[in-house]
Amino acid sequence: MSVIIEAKELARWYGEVVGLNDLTVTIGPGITGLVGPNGAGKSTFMKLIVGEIRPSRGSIQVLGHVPFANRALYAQIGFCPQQDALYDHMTGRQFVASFLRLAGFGRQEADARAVSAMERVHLADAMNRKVGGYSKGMRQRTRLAQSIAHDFELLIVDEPLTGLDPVARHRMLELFRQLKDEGKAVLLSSHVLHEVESLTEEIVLIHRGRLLAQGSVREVRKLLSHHPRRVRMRAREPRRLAEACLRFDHVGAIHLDEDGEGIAIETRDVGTFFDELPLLAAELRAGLRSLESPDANLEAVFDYLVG
Amino acid sequence: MELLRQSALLFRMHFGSIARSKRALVSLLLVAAPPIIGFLVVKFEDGDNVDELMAALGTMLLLQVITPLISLIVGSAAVTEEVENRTITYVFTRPIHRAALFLGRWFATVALVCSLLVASAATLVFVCGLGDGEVPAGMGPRLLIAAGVGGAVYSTIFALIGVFLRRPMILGLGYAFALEFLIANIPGSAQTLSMQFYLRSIYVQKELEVWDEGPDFLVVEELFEPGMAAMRLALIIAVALVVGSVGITRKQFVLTS
Repeated sequence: MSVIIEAKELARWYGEVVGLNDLTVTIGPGITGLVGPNGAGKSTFMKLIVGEIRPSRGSIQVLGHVPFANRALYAQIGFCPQQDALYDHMTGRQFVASFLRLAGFGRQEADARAVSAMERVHLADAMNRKVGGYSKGMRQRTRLAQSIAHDFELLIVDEPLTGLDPVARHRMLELFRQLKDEGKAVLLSSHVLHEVESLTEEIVLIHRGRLLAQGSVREVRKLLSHHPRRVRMRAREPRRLAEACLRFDHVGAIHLDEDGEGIAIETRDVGTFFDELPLLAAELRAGLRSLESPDANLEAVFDYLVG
Repeated sequence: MELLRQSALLFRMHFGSIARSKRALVSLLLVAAPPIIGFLVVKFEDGDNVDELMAALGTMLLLQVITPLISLIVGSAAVTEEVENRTITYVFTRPIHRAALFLGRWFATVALVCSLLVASAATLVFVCGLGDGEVPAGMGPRLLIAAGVGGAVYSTIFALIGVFLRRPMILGLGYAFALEFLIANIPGSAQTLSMQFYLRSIYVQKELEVWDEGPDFLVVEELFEPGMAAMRLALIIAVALVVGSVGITRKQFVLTS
C-alpha cells in the first residue's frame, strides 16, 4: 500500500484550544519523521492516527481505515505513546504478554512473542522484574516492546528517544531501521530534529497545529529558495573572493570576519552557488580552505519555516 | 464471546492491583466499623437485644453508609483510574473491545466491594452472636445477601458515572448521601426510587418483631418481597452495564500530556 496515512483538512480542538488545524497530508511507507516543537500538535495528530480521539473537522484514514475505536486497524498498527504509564504491578514480560493475550494470541505464543520483543529492545535481563522498578529508559523500551510484539504494518511512536541514554538511543534508532528493512512503516515524532534527520529523509513539519512542510529534507530546503541561505567560508584571499561573489545575482549580503579569513554570505540559490564557487575560487587563486552552510541541518530549515 | 474473554483477562490483570490499592485499604477500615461498634455495644452496653442492634447497624450503618461509601471509593475508580494513570491508551489502541475494559474492571471492583461487605456483615452477625440474646434465624443470611447485592448495585452505578465523568466522586457523594438519603428516609412511595428501599426489602424479615419498632421511615408493609427487590436491582445493574459498555465504546478520553 503506497498511502499509509491520509489526512484531509484535519482539525482537532480542545474547547477553544486548537490542537491541529486544517492538516492535509499523505504519509507513505518507510520511516517518516513528524517534527515540530513542543505543543506543535504532533501528539494530537498521533492520537487522531491511532483513533484515541475523533477529528473535530476533516477526515483521516490509516491503512484504509477510519481509526476511531477500529479494532481491525489496531491489529495492524503498533502505538508507543509518549506518556510514562505502565501497569507497575506487572513484570515487563507480563505487561507485553497481557496485551498480546487480549489481542487474541494464545498463552504460549503471547509469552514467546513478549520475550522476543523484550529481547529486541534489550530488556531480556530485566523482563521478569516488576515494571515499577524500571528506570525511565527501561520503561520507554517496555512501551516500545508492547507496540512491536505483534504482526503490525505501521508503528507509531511518540517522542521515542526522550529520556534514553546515548547507547539506548543508538539501539532504538537501529531498531527503527531494522523495522523499515522488514517492510514496516514507521512514523515517529520528535522535537529533536537532528535525531529524526539521522534516521530518515522523509519529514512532516508541524507548527502551531498546522503543516509547515512535507517531503525529504532536500525537498523542504527547495521550498526555501526564496529565503536567503547563509554560507560560511574561510580563504587565504577573502576580500578578493567576496568581491567576486558579488557578481552573482543570487548573492545578497556579504560579511567579512574580523580575523581577516572568514566570509559569511547570504544566497537565494545555494545550489547554484555551490556549483559556481569552486571555479571562481580557482580562477582567483583565493585559497578556499573551508566551506560550510550552517543552515543545512533540519534545525535551520525549521527556524526558517517558522519565521 | 471475544468480549467476555477479554473482560475476563482484564479482570485477572486488574483484580490483584485493585485489591492491593489504597482505596481497598480505606474500604477495609470502613467495613471494620460495623462489627467493631457491634462488639463494643454487645460487650459493654447491651448484650440482650442483639436483634435490635443488628437491625440498627445493618440498615443505618452498613447498608445506608458503608455500602455506598466503599462502593463509591472503589467502584468509581473502575474506569477513571485507567484514565488518571493514562494506561487506558494501551487498551484503546489494541484490538480489544473497549467495553471489555469497563466490564473487566467493573467485575474486579464488584468482587472486591462485595467480598468486603459480606465479610463485614458476617463479622457483625458473629459479634452479635456473642451477646446474651439470640440473633433471629434468617436475619444474618439476609444481611449478607443485602450487603453483597448493595455492593454490586452501588459499585455498578459509580463505575457507570466514572465512564462519563472524569471526577465521579463529587456526583457520587451527592447521589449517595444527599439524594438517596433524602429519598430513602422520607416515608412514602418515593422510596422506591432509592436503592436503599430494595436493600431493606431484602434485609427486612417482615414477620420479625424487631422491625415493628423500627424508625419512622421504615414502613415494613410497603417493602417488596426479597426476590422482587433483588430482581429490580439486577435489572438496574444490567441496564447500567449496557449503558456503560456503549458509553465507553463511543466516548473519547482526552488525556493531557
